[in-house]
Amino acid sequence: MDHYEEESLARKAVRGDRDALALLWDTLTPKLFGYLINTLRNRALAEDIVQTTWLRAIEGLPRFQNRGKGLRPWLFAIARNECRRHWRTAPREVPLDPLTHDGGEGAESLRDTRLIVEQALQKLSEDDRELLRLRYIADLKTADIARVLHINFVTVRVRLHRALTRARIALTSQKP
Amino acid sequence: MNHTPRSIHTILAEWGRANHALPPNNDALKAAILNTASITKGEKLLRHFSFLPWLSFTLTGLAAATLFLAPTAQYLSPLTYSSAPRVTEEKIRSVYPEPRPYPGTPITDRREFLKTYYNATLRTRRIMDLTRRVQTVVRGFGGRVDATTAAEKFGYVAFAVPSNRFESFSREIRSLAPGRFIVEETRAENLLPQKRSIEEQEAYIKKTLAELNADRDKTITAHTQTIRSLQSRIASANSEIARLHAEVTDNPQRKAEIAARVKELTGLVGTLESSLARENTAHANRLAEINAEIRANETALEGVRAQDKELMDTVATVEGHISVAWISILEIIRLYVPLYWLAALFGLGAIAAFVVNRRRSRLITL
Repeated sequence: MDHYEEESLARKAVRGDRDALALLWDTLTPKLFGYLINTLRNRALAEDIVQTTWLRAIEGLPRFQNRGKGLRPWLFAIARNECRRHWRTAPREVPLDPLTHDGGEGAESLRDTRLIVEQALQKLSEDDRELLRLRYIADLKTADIARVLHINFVTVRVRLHRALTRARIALTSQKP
Repeated sequence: MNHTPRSIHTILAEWGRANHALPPNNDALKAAILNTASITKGEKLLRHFSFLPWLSFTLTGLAAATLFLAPTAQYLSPLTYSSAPRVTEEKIRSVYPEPRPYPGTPITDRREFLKTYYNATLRTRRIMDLTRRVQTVVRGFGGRVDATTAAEKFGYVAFAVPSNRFESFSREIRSLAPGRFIVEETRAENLLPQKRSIEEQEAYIKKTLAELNADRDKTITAHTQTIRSLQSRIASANSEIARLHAEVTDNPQRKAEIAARVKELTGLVGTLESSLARENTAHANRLAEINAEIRANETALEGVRAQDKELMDTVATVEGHISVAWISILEIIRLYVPLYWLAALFGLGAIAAFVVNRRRSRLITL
């Protein structure tokens, strides 16, 4: 679903179309929940923040002016703000061992890939991991990541490139 | 594992896809979110009013501006727009004598000699037209236009109309503009003190004239008597002189007596004639003085009567002026809606816009 489809559904949702809102939920929630799981490392907390994020999004939806920038970056920006709000009152979760992390569903090969990558990504900085989460879990484009992080588009591209390089090195070093 | 850049992208894309997951209570969460997103029909309508915050600011500004202007709103005074001289009490005093006796007039005299002044100010956006109509009304009621001015933003008509047609005249003037657009002032002054003064002066002059005429008659009578007496004595002396001249005697003593007597009588006649002449002269002088006084008083009486007539004419005339002033749209609004009411309306509108906007921002209740 591209930005314009998301915006069209958002406009319908504002006008009271529950089906449009349901479709947005079905499209965005897997990515949102996956992002939050990977960020917070706590399924229950991630579930709470998914709910809070959606409630805030619905509350602000009438005021949201798309202008071709898409709903997803805005939604993930809300999610990031909710995470920061949570961390202001509670310490960050200790990164857990991906081998024992209660992973999501999916094919075993995907789970294996995820575990391997999780292990490799533990060696990266939190900023790099955040970039990679937004790029590959949230499935945001570079321009969208720039809007979410409130930094320059070129800066995002450079940092993303460096993060990928470091991830590749980390994965390579894990090669048995 | 192939870790080429393309492969790392692929690996991470797989990793991202692998992280995609729905919450365990996805259906319940979804249902709860959808339920809380219920939007009423009325609230849908409110959603369209995104201009409400600006409307609220604008109305607040208008309310403040209106309150700032409000204290200066005043009804007009006809004097405000009048630059022409008005009939004042000083003019009355200069025409009519000071009222006597001082002070005031006794309440027992309940006569009224009301001098009425009428001023009006008409507000309009058609100055020339209304000024012409005012002049027409003045002349139509038997009045007189004493002065007139007509400009783009101001008109002026000074007039005089008969007092017995004043009520109709003022009614016609009021019909030229709606009630809120006209301010009238009617003043009336009782000229009874002046009237009483005139009457007192007239009475005094008449009394003086009567006395002077009596004096004149007495003078003439006295003079006549005096003349008659003198003439009688002169005639008597002349008669005796004639008799003595007619007496013929040879008696030198008698002749001497006759001559002496004739001489004496001649002297007496001369004296009497001198007295007669003096009497005539004195009488003429006295009579001239009296006549002069009589004429002066008669002139004064005419003057007082003229004053009385003028006073009555003044009472019978209503004088004044009518100003015609241009009015702006804002002033028209202020005439119908006092500015503090307007400020209150703007304030209420601002509050209503604020409340509606707050409701609009809570369209989706939690």
